[in-house]
Amino acid sequence: MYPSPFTYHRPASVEAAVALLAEFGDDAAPYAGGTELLLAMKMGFAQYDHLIDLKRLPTLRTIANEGEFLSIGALATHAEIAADPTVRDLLPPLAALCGEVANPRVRSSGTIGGNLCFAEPRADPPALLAGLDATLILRSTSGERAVPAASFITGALETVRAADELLVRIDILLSERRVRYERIVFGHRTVAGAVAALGAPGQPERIWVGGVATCPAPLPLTQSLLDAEPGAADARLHDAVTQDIAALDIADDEEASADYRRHLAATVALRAIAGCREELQR
Amino acid sequence: MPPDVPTTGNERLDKVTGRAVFASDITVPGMAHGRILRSPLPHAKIVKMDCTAALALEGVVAILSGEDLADLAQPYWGLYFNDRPVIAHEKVRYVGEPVALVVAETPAVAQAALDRIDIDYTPLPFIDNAGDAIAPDAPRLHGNLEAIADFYFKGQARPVSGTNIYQLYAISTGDTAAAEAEAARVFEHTYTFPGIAHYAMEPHCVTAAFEGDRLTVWSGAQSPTAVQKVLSRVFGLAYANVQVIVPHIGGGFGGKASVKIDPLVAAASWKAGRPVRVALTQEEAMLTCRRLGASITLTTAVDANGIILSKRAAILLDGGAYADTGPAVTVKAANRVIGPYAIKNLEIESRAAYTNTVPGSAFRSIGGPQAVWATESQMDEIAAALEIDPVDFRHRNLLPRGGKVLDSLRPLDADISEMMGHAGQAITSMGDRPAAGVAVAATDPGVLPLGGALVRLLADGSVLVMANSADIGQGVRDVLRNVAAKTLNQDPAAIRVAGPDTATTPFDWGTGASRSTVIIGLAVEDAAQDAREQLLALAASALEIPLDGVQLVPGGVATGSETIPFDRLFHTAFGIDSGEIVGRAMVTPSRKGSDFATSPLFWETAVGACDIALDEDTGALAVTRFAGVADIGHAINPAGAEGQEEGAAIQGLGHALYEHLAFIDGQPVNATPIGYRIPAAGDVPHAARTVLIENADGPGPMGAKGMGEGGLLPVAPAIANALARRYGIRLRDLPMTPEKIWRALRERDSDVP
Ligand SMILES: Cc1cc2nc3c(=O)[nH]c(=O)nc-3n(C[C@H](O)[C@H](O)[C@H](O)COP(=O)(O)OP(=O)(O)OC[C@H]3O[C@@H](n4cnc5c(N)ncnc54)[C@H](O)[C@@H]3O)c2cc1C
Repeated sequence: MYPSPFTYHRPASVEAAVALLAEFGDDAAPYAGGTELLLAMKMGFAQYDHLIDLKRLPTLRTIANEGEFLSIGALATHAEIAADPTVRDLLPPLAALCGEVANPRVRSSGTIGGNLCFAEPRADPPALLAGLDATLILRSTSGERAVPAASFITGALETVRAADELLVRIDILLSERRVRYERIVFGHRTVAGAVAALGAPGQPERIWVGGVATCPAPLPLTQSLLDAEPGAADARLHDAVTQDIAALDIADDEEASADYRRHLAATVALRAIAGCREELQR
Repeated sequence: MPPDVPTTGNERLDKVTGRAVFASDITVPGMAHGRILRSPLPHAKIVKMDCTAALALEGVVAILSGEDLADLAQPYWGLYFNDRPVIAHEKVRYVGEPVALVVAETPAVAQAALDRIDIDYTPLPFIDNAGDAIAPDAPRLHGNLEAIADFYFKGQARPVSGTNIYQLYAISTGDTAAAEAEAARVFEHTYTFPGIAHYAMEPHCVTAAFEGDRLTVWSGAQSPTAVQKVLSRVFGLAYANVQVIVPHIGGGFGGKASVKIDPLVAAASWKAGRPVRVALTQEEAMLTCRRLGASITLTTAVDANGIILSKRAAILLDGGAYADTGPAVTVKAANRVIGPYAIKNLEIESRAAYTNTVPGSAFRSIGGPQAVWATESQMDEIAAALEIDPVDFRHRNLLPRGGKVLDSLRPLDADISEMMGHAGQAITSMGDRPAAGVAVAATDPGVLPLGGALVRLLADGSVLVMANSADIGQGVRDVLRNVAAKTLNQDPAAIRVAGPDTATTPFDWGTGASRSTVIIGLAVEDAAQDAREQLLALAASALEIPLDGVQLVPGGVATGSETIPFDRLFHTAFGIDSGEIVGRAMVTPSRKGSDFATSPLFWETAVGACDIALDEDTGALAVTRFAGVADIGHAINPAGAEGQEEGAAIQGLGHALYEHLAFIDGQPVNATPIGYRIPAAGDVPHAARTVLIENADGPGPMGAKGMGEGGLLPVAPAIANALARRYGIRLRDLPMTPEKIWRALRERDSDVP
């Protein structure tokens, strides 16, 4: 109901923000839209002595076409990404997803960075960004480092981000691949999501699923099959996807049983592949 | 020149502009705030409670706990049994039961103090479902309790001594064994229904202020006089000294009926010597009460022509830790499982048992959704087995208007066949395919005909209607305003309907059981008629003209030659242009002109029909078209009536597809707004129709019947029937989640040879 008491900081620069993180470490949390953080604190799931409000750091919300990359500031909200002409132009599936997640209230304050750093197993962007070979740029007082989206999340609510690091932006490799993200949502929760990024000569095919296991996962057999045989028949695809998903660590929970979740994951993965292939045919 | 008619403002405008005062908005000078420490265990002995550290926290005023109960006049209370302590006493019986209430200067301090209370429990064996509760060696939650008679509902509970069963109710007519022996087919199926949270938008909120031997309570209460009665017992106060004031309520659905947290909050004020406000969170509201879960086995015998010969029903309800109004739910589930069908031979046994879970309580159509879920699902199962169209099968067995569900009950006052026709038409008017699933219901509201009203005509022509009906969002004040306006021939805009205040508004049993339009509607009509007669008599004598020479017109009286505003009339009669006319009425079981001797006073009927779309890959189901039909006699407030039907249907959609207050090992697993799913705007069918049948044949004003609950009833079985008909799967366990649907589809496909 009430969060435990905390000190509120509003740094005026990214330097000041990372300095505060360096000072307080584990006792501090960056505060972006607060849509996850404040809820977790109010419900008593999380306690921090210091909140470092990022909202006054406009450089963290820029979205730019950097030629090779589409660069999205960590503080860009879902609504901003959904409405951004550059994203809509270069990566329509990301814009579409950001226009659909959650509800208007959450979209207008929840940020892409907050979504990634919270690492909620049911989140959509982590799998999509992993499938797009995105890179996350983390910054601390000792400088910046780049982490592939594919290895950023390590478990439920766990990432490789150190307590003194700020996620500043996400660089998404621009490629010729066709991208399709499919998800199944019950109520306000995604129960399975999958991205297929296919069909760019010389680039590996990517199929990732999210929302089913504790963190997003690639489907390696399916990827290799498509790498070797872009036109692989449906039955073989189905087998590969099913095998890949059987290898994932998926547990029963009060929302869905593991076998059902596996089925849903396979369903969305096949839908994403089919959607991508359709686009490639056009 | 016609008199100026004053206007009294519009509550809907107040609500949309945020000006309307809800229970949660009340503040009282000197008020402190309470937060509740709740039991983490389903069943345990409290062996130690140490509040020293909590009391030492700055800003903490007092802590109420079980130790304080010894000083109360009546520390245990209830509606059928005094089974519930004001706050846990020596024992806890469910996860979430209040064990300590900290009163502090701010809610945050009260909350912080909760962590400093040191409690040791010794766990006791617990039961978290009704099946286990009735096992011979089940642990007992309560000792043998004495039933209190005619306390809130008429009658008394019949517990089974030495068991957890707090209510056993049976109906037996004819000879089911003989009927089954001669039947062409006998069908037996079991249907299950989960506990469901009320999920009112505004969680429970009560502010209580003790001053000596006077107690004032502001509460979002549907039954203010029941709150008054229980509080007077608990604290040993005169009814006249217990004032319960009810502002607007942000949704109730029965979750705020009878009595809920009022004794607890009043006790906190009593202990603290300060006014205390306790506003629950939605999580806490979900730990306060819920609909009773049920398991219902139906054994139905039919002849070769598809005529039902007999029906047996075994109903077992999960009552939770305290009986609350569960005994009434048990009775109604039995009556409501029969359906509007002509069945000569009936054998119904309905039982409710205590379990170590959130207390079960009244919820929109008590016992109805559980019973109708079973009966209307089975109707289609039988029709399918007999290869009869399900609508046709119902037609063969439906009672006609005037037919009797049970001999002891009033004859049916609606034509269900005709209503089914309307539902079918409404569905085809919205799309090509006929309805995929249909269900019907007729329920017997437990309407106690006891409630009064005052209608005060003031000198400027504005009118105050004083009645104890709570505005829970259903629009009752619009209904009462329209009734008074019509009877007094005044502009509705001149009429203000005051909210319940037991110190100023006459007794009423409460807002529930679809009764306010009928009972308080009649009380207002009678009181307005009384005011009218007084006014006309006053006018005739003051103006020295015959009684039949005056009539009421908006703002005054007309004599034929002229129109005299009320203030001038009062001036002539009383010497100054002040004063008022007080019309009063009390509706009782013997009201003149009403037949209140047999129950129910009216039947609440409903037909629902739907079409659905299913994603067979995932099991995700959407209701694409829905039609609801209700016979409500007369719609006094048409927009409100339609809103009630539609709201009920949407709540029914939640029951059908999403909602289940789940417990694992006695622990609630989804009792949070994050874990618990209710229907959202996007889930509502895009094509929906409500048909209201109005034959002005009800017992209420202008022939109105009560309404507002029935629309919930047909939704779940209509959807289940649609799934069976269109997709060949039969679900018997609610809610019909995508996973359950997917499993049924898989089973269907593996059965195919
Ligand atoms: C009702 C509801 C429905 C939702 N539905 C969906 C859905 O369908 N799909 C989906 O993907 N998501 C969904 N979400 C999640 C939503 O996307 C996230 O709540 C939102 O994006 C989080 O962003 P935020 O800015 O509010 O993060 P915050 O709550 O501010 O922060 C979240 C966490 O990330 C940390 N953090 C934030 N920014 C940074 C940064 N720049 N660097 C380092 N750490 C940081 C915080 O310290 C905190 O631990 C839903 C959420 C809600 C409440």
